[in-house]
Amino acid sequence: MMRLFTGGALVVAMVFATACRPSSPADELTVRWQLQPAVPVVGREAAADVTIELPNGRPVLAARLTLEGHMSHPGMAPVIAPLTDAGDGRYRAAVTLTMSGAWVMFVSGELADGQAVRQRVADVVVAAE
Amino acid sequence: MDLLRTPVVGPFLRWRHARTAVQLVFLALAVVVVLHGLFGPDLASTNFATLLTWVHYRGLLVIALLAAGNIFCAGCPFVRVRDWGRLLHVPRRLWPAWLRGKWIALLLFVAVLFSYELFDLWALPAATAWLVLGYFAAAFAVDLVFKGATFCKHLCPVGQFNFLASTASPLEVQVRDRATCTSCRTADCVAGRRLAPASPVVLQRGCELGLFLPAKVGNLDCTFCLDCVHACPHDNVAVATRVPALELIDPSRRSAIGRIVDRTDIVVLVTLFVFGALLNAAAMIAPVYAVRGWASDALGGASDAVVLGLLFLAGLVVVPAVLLWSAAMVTRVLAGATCSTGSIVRRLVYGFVPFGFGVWLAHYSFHLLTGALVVVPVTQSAVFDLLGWPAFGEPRWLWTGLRAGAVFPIQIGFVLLGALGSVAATQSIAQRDFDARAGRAALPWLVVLAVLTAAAVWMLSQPMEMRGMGL
Repeated sequence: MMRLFTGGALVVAMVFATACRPSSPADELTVRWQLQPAVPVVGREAAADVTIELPNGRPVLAARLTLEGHMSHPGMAPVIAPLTDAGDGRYRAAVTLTMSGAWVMFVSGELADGQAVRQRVADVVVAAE
Repeated sequence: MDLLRTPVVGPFLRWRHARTAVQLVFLALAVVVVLHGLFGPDLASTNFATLLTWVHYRGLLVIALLAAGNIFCAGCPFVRVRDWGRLLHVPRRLWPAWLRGKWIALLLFVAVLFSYELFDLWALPAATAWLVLGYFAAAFAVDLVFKGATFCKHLCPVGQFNFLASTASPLEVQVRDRATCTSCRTADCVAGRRLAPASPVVLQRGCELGLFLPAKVGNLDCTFCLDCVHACPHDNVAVATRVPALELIDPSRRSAIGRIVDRTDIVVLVTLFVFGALLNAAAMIAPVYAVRGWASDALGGASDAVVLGLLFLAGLVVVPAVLLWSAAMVTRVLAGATCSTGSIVRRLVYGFVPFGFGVWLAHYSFHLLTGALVVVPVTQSAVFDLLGWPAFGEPRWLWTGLRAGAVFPIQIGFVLLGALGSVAATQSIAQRDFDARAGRAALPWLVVLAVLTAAAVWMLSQPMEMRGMGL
C-alpha cells in the first residue's frame, strides 16, 4: 500500500512540477522566426529562418537545434527538421508540414554550453492544397 | 460461450472487487488527466489530458465495444467516487418521474458534441480537465441525492452512447436457465441482498438501473457492472457471447425500458447516434472548414457559434428528418402499410445503429491507431519537466502510430462492416413487420443507408484539417 501511495505521489508531483520548473537562461532567449511562404501549403516545402539571441542581445552561436511542428490535435504525427547554423545567430530549416490546419512550432535542442532549450516560436495555419 | 466459466477471465470477473480494481485504474488515469490538464503544458499534443481523453479513451472505448461490450461503463471512475460518497450519505429520493428517460442525456450529448467543435476541446488541456471534473461532480451530486444509478440511466451522455453502441457488441449479461428464474422468489438480481429483509444493511446490491434479468433483453441500459452476477443466489447469470445487433430487431418488452419502438427518446438517441457520427467526422475535414468559412461570409461575418449551430441543425435535425421521413413514406406506399409514417420510422431506424457504430469506430480508431504511441514521448516530456533532465530519454516525438494511409483501409472496413450489419438488421426488421412485402418495405431504407455509407466513405477519404487554438 505504501508503494501505491509513493507511486501516486510521484505522479502528482510530476504533473504539478511541469508548471514549477525553475527558469534557466535558455528560457530567456529571444527567438525571431520567419516562414516562407507565411501560410504554407500542406505537403509543400517551406523555408524557416530562425534568429536566436541571448538576453543581452548577442547572437546564440553554434547551437544544435531542431525545428518541431506539432498539430493542435493530440496524437498526430509531428514534423521535425534539423536547423542548420547559418552563422551570426541565424538558423535555417526546410520543413514540409503534412496536414492542413493549426500547427505549433518549437525550436528545441542544446546551446553550445550544453544547456537544453525548447521554445514555442509560432502558431501556423497550413492551407489545404 | 459464458465468459464467467472461462479460465483466468472468469475467476477475475467473479471476484467481488473486480469492478473496483478496474475503476481504480481508470480513476488513477483520470487523476493524471485532470492534474496534467490543469497544471501541465498547454499544447494539446504534449498533455495527458487531451491525449488520453480524445485519442486513447475514445479509441479504446469503441474497440472494447466492438470486441467485447460495455467495459468502460463497468470501469467508470465517476461511479467509484460516487460509491465512496454514498458511504457517508445514503440517497433517499427517487429521480422525478417527469424527468425519467433519455431526454436530458440527449441534450447533454448534443451539448458535448457542439462544445467539442465550437471550443476545439481537443486542443485545450485545461478545458478537457474541467470537463472531466464536471462529470465527476455531476455524477457525485446527482447520485448522492437520488437513489440507484440515476446519473448513468438518465443523464450521462457517454453512458447513452455506450448503451446504444453495445447493442452491436458480442457479449451480453443474460440468464443461464430461465426455469431457475421462474422458481426464484427473491429477485436478488434487481433487488439485491440485505442482512435481513427489512434491514438497511445491503450485503450485495442488485441492478441499479432496474434491469430484472429474466426480462432483460440485450445490452441497452446495462453497465456491465456485474452486480447481478454477484447477487444471484442461484449462480444463474452469464456473460455470454451472442449475435451482435440481433437485439435491435427484438420487439419484446424489456425490463425497465419497455418496447424500444415505443420509446421516442431512444428513437431520437439512435438518430443522433447515427447522424452525430457523420457530423463529428465531417467537422474535421478540409471541405467542411471551407463551407464553414463560406457560410460565415454569406451570413455577413456570422460568428462560428452561429455557423456551427446551423450546421448542427442541418446535420442532426433537418437532414435526418427529411431522409428518415421520406424513407418511411416510400415504405408506406411500396409495402401498402396501414401504420403511420412515424411508426415506420420508429421501427426501421434501429436498423441504422450498426452503421452509426461503424462510423464512430472508423473515426475514433483512426486517432487511436495513428496516435497510440504518443503516450511515450508525452511521458518522457513530463518526466523531463519534473526532473529538469531527460530521465526517460529525450522525447521521441516521432513515435506516433500507424501512418494515416495504412489506417484508411481499416476505417473503410469498419464503415462497410457497420453498413452490412445495418443491411441485415433493416431487412430483418422489415421481415418482422411487413412479412411478404419485406423487400419493398426495406428498399427505401437501404437506399438511404447506401447514401449515408457513400457519404461516410467520401468523408474519410478527404484531407483532414485540424484546427484549434483560435487559428
